[in-house]
This record gives sequence, structure tokens and C-alpha cells, in this order.
Amino acid sequence: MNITIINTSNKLYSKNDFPNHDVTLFNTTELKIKSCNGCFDCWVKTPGKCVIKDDMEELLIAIINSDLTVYISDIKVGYVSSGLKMIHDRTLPLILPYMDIVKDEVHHTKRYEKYPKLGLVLIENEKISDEVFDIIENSYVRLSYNMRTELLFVIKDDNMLGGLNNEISNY
Amino acid sequence: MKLVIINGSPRGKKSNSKVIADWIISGLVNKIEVEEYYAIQIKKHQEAISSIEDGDTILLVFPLYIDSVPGVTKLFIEELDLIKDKVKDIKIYYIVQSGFAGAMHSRAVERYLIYVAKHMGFKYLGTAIKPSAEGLRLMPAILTKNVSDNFKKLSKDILESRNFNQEVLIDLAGFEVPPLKYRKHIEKGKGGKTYFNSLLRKHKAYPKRFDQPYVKK
Ligand SMILES: Cc1cc2nc3c(=O)[nH]c(=O)nc-3n(C[C@H](O)[C@H](O)[C@H](O)COP(=O)(O)O)c2cc1C
Repeated sequence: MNITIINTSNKLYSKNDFPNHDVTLFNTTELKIKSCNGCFDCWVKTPGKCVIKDDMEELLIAIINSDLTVYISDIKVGYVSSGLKMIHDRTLPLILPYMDIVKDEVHHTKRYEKYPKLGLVLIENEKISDEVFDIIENSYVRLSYNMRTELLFVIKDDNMLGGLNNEISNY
Repeated sequence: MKLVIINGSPRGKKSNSKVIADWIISGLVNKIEVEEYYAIQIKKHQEAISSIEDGDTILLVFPLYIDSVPGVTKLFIEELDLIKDKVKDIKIYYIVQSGFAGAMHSRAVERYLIYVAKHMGFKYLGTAIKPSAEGLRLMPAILTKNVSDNFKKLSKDILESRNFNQEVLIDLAGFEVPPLKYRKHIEKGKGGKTYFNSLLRKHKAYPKRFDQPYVKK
């Protein structure tokens, strides 16, 4: 099983933090990832590829070749960070421009046969109220429909990622 | 008192968000001072935020990106947090427009927008949702008249600092979830095909449209 962990929080992790699992790990504060500019070139000019040349390509490769992708984010103003949101925006090349019906709604057609399951770890740097947790969870359920996959878990970080290691083991 | 418009689109001035902002502005008929800023101009966020003074109204207009605010819009919201409790009597409106049909897509982010207003201590006066909006910037005025008239009606609410008119919001939103007939149309492979295929052909990329460049063989 391939697991990709994309840590966008200010805290840096190493593979040693996941002793029992073989993971591909990114600390994105050490990478250069620009904002999507909405050009749609990944759909109509260079199908499947983003035209912005930065570290995002490496992430896209790791995401699409994983069975489970886990995102780690700080909480900023009651939501995941802009750093993580910019990464999600840049995943558009992974799907096709064409439309499909998913759960009775319009969504995009798959570009790849298989998409990784999703997990989200929220670093409780500011208090996560039930309302905030619910808003984020709901938003990621939506994101999972859009990215043609399923949300496996959203957890608040407990010490040393004990929670995440558990989730991965359970998976 | 003035209106500060924050355009959250990564496309900046060439966006559907800009087209909508212009409709709003024309409906204001110069009765209020307007300042416009663009979230994609990250270096200007500070200027935008410090322009917000007691009694002002904010309008945040943005495209739905992966079911939420675009990353740069989120960055703006994070920086806006700096003036929390430092300004008084601020009112806020939102406009979310999306590519897909069905207002349902924007309901999750609407909840977050209401949270932001509450968190900031701003008076929340409504969120307008406009689905199927990708074509707005490309369409001739005659085809967008109904939509532009609706936005101009919302301008009146902004001038009066009252809640967005509920009937106008319902008309703009259209259906929440696509009706069966629409779903059948999409299931027949008709959604967005003509438009995207013509662009693919124009860029000589049509034969490569299904490429899977990132999969390890
Ligand atoms: C990266 C990216 C993600 C998008 N995600 C969504 C989405 O989740 N749902 C949707 O309905 N439209 C989505 N869209 C479509 C835009 O919301 C739509 O094209 C909008 O009209 C763009 O407005 P703008 O020109 O103001 O940026 C997305 C577009 C891009 C480029």
C-alpha cells in the first residue's frame, strides 16, 4: 500500500514519525508551490499537466500513485490553511474537463482509473470548535466527491501523530 | 462609508468575478465610493485590509475552487484576521459563483463564509450563489441580461445595508441539485464537451485529451 503524506503545517515531520509505515512524505513549507491561475491549460493545452513549473508536479505524481493521501494542516481562521488550499486547487490536472453525475450532482469525469482515499489531520494550533470541525469535514466530503474518491478520516492531531499512525494501521 | 470589493479570483481582472463585480458597481450608480482589490495581487493585501475603516461594507466575490474558497482568497481571509476587533460596524456580503450547475456545490463554503463574518465580528448580510458561471465573461450582454439585472438588484440592498433580497438569491441560485432531465443530458456525455473539445482542438491537444502523464507504469 502506498501512502503519501502532505504536511502543510509549520511543524516539520520526518519518516521516523511514522515508524511502522512506509510513507512518501512532503513538508510543503520547504517547497515552492504557487497559486493556480485558473488558466485551464491542464485541460485544454497540455492535458493532465499543469503549466506552472514548480514543486507541485512531484506532489501530483505522489498523490495519484498512492492508495491513501493524508493532508496535514494548521487551522487558520476556522479552516485549513491557504497553503493547503492552494495545493488542492492545483490538483485540477488529475481530473478531466468533461462532466459526469456523481451522487446525483454534476462532477468531473475521471482522468485516472484510481484515486487515493483521503485523510485529513488538523493541527489544533487554535481551538477547533465542533462548528469548525463540522465545516471542515463537510468541505472535505465535498472535495472527495469532486476528486472522485472517498474521505476516510478527519482527525485532530493528538501528540506525536499517534492518531494518524493509528488511522494508517487501521487502514 | 464605502464599499470595498475583494475579487478573490486567481484570474484577477479577466475573471467572471470581475464581470459580476462590474454589474454590482453599475447598479450602485455612483451613490457610494467603491474600492476594488484583487486577492491574486498578494502584495496588495495589506493595502486592501488597511483601507477598511469603521462603517465600511465589504463585498467578497470569488469562484468556487475545489468546493471552497480559492487558495489566494483563503490567504486574504487569514490576513483580514489582523483587523479583527480593530474596526467597528463592518458589514459583509459574499458572492460565490461556480462552474457546475447546482447551488448545492456552494452551500458548504457558504457555511464557512458565515463563520468568517461571525468570527470577525462583521454584520453578515448574505451570500449570493451563481452556478453555471464559467461562460459569463464570454457571453454577449443579451444572454446574460437576466443575471446582470439580478446582480444590479442586489446593488440596491448594498446601498441600503440590508440583507440580500431572498427572491433574487433564489432566482440566481437556480436548482440546488440538477433535475433528472439535466442529469440524463450529462450522462449522455453532453456536459461541457463542445466547449472543451473546441479549446482542445484549437490548441492541437485533442488527441492527447485523455493523457495520464503522472501514472507510474
Ligand atoms: C482549480 C479550479 C477549481 C475549480 N473548482 C470548482 C468546483 O469545485 N466547483 C465548481 O462548480 N467549479 C469549479 N471551478 C470552476 C470555477 O468556479 C468557474 O470557472 C468560475 O466561473 C471561475 O470564475 P473566475 O473567472 O472569476 O475565476 C474550478 C476552477 C478551477 C480553475
